Order: sequence, then structure tokens, then C-alpha cells
Amino acid sequence: MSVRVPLRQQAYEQIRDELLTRGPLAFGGRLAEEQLARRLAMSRTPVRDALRRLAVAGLVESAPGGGYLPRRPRPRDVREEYELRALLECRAAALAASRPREAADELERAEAEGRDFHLAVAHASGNEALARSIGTLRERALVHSLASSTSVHELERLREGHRAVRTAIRACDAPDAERRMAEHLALACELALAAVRTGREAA
Amino acid sequence: MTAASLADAAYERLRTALVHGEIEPGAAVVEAEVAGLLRMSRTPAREALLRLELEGYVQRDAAGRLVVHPPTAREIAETFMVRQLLEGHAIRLAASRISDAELSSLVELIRLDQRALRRRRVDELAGINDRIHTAILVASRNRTLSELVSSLRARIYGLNAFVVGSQSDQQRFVADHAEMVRCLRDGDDEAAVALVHDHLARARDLLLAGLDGLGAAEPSFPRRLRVSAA
Repeated sequence: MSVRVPLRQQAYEQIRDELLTRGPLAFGGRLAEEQLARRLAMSRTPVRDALRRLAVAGLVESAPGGGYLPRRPRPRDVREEYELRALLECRAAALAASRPREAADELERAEAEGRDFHLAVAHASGNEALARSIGTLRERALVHSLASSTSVHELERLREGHRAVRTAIRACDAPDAERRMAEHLALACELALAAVRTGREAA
Repeated sequence: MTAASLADAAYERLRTALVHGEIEPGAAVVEAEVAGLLRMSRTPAREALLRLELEGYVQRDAAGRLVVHPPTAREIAETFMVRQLLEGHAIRLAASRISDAELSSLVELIRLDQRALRRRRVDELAGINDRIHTAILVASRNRTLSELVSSLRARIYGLNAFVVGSQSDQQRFVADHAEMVRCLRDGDDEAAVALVHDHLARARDLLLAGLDGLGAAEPSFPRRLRVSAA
């Protein structure tokens, strides 16, 4: 028997992916239960469940007059989220560096499978509660980073940051892993803030 | 009452029951039983359960049943490490951001905490503890931070109320709470962070020690609820 993904989970993932790729412009800027149900060829119940979950996850917010809007982060939200990411992800990097063998394996696997670097470091920490919290923050932060256009040069700087963190973890240097993660997130925050400002001006 | 406010009422009632330990970790929570217990139809009961599931209070097991999450020792240790980071950060922010009105209501909560301790009302302590920690999070003015901590706490709530500790443990927790509020009043953020760190370490050790004492039999959903929602 194949494992069936519940409809509400399918609905959640499909809507989330669209939000992450298209940002505030996804779904014509407004998410209505009935239209989404038609579009995903599902009944309204799983779509309603999915929208609730997306609201809890901070990807959409309920709109005056019904339905939901893709969340448009304010600069303050971005700063708050990155402040929390730094708090948790620097600890994750330090923990990963203190269990280098497991961490190196985990990071390599993630790389091979093309998984997200930050989630890989979170899992490499060996603390599931920490990884779950980082995952929640990461999902929120993706809305405003992916929807923006980052230049090739900036992308390279971000990748360089990943390499520095990875090297520190492999070298079992916890303080350095923590410091490199902090530097990398400070840069990512700066870029996200710029993107949010541009997005607001364009809107 | 409208369907939405019925669902809200059901949610508050169930959450309160969980916080007060009226529903044991490991117990299955069935829509029909909840509806029967709260004397309402299944639709609002279902809405309430969905919200509790989203917030992490109940989870689906392999058979698809909703169950009050029974945390393992490892999960407790990991959860408290993250809570120390996040709630330490929250009280640091709160020390500079808390309003006079918020401070007054915390002072009032401390009074209730001390009264419950004096009167040996162990059943009230869990609810008051919940309100004190929540008030500090709200005063941090960082909604994401509050939500992250809520979802971490949701997974250990049931257990929290079951493991009440000795009277001297309770005295210590109540004294910690009063000291946190004093630090907030004086804007002493360094002391507040250190205190939250130690307070959560004590809570963690108590839960870990109490984990073995939990019922070995399959816990069942209660037939009636004692505490009403605040």
C-alpha cells in the first residue's frame, strides 16, 4: 500500500510553494477558499485547514472582508525574525561543531540531496526542538528572501558564508562556527531588509 | 452562540484542561468525546481540535488518532535548552519594553501565585505559572518569539501540571517568579536572564525526575472537566 499524503497536507504544501516562489504576488495577491479549492481540485475543507496553518506559520494574514493575503513583511518583522534566527542558529552551529563527525555527515548528505543549508546545520545540532524552531523561522524568512531578486554577487557572498560555517564545523571550532553564522545572518538580514524596502516601494 | 465562538470556547476549555493536567499525556482526544463532554456539536469541537493540533498541544499518532503529546526525556532536555535561549531573550527585551500596566498585572499574578502556595492550592499553580510566563513573553513585544515559545511549551504542558514537585520545589518556583518581576521592575536585564536560565533548569530537572512516575496504563480522556477557562 502506498503512503497517502492527507489532502490538507497536499493543499498546505502546494499553496506554500506558490507563496514562496511568487511572494506577495502569488494568487493575484489574495487567497480565497473557494477559488483555491477549484484550482487545487479539492473540497473546501482541506483548503480551509491549509489556510489556517499558513496563517499560524506566518505566511498569510487574514484580510479584512474575508480570505487571506500573502503576508507583506515590514522591516521591523524582518529584523525581529533575523534576531531570533541569529539566537538559535548560532547555537545550532556551535552544537554542530561539538559533534563534528555526525554533523559533517549530516551536512554532506544535505548537500548531496540539495537540501537547505540552514536546516542542515539545525539538524546537525542534534537537538530536534532547536531544529523545529529554526525550521519555523526559516519558513517565515523565506517569504521575503526568495521573492526578492538577489544579484549574482550577493548570492556568492551568501554561499561564501555557508562555506565558512561548514569549515568551522568540520574543524570542531564551536566559537568560530558561531561567529561565522552570525556574520552570515547579518548579511542575509541586510539583503532581506533591502528587498522588503524595494518590494514596498514597488507595490 | 455562533459556531466560531463555540469553537473558541471549546478551544479555551480544552487548553485550560491541558494546562491544569486534567488530560493526561498519552490520552487520545476523540472529536465525539470532546463534543459530548462540552455538550456541543462536532463541528466546533473539530475546529478546536484543529487549532490545538496546529499549536502542538495534541499530535496525530501513527494510527491517525489525536493524542496529548507524551514527551520523552530527551525531548524535555532539548526543549528546555531552546526555551532558555528564547525566554532569556524575551525577558531581556521585556526589561526595557514592559509597560506600567503590564507590570501591575504581573505584580497581581505574583500575589495570586503566593496565595495559591500559602493555601496549598497546587491545582491553581500550573495555571498561574502559565499566565506569568505568557505575560513576560507578551511584554517582549516580539510576536514571533512568543509564538515559538508557545509551541515549545505546548508539547510539555500536560506533563508540566502532572509533575507538581514537593512543597519546597513549589516555594522555589513562586520565589523565582517574584524575583523575575522585581528584575523587570528595576530594569535589571542581566539578573533577569540568569534567573530565567536557572528557573527553567530547575523546571526541567523536576520534569525529568517526575517522568518515571507517570501512569504506565493507557491514559483515558476524562469524563468531566473541573477547571473552567479563565
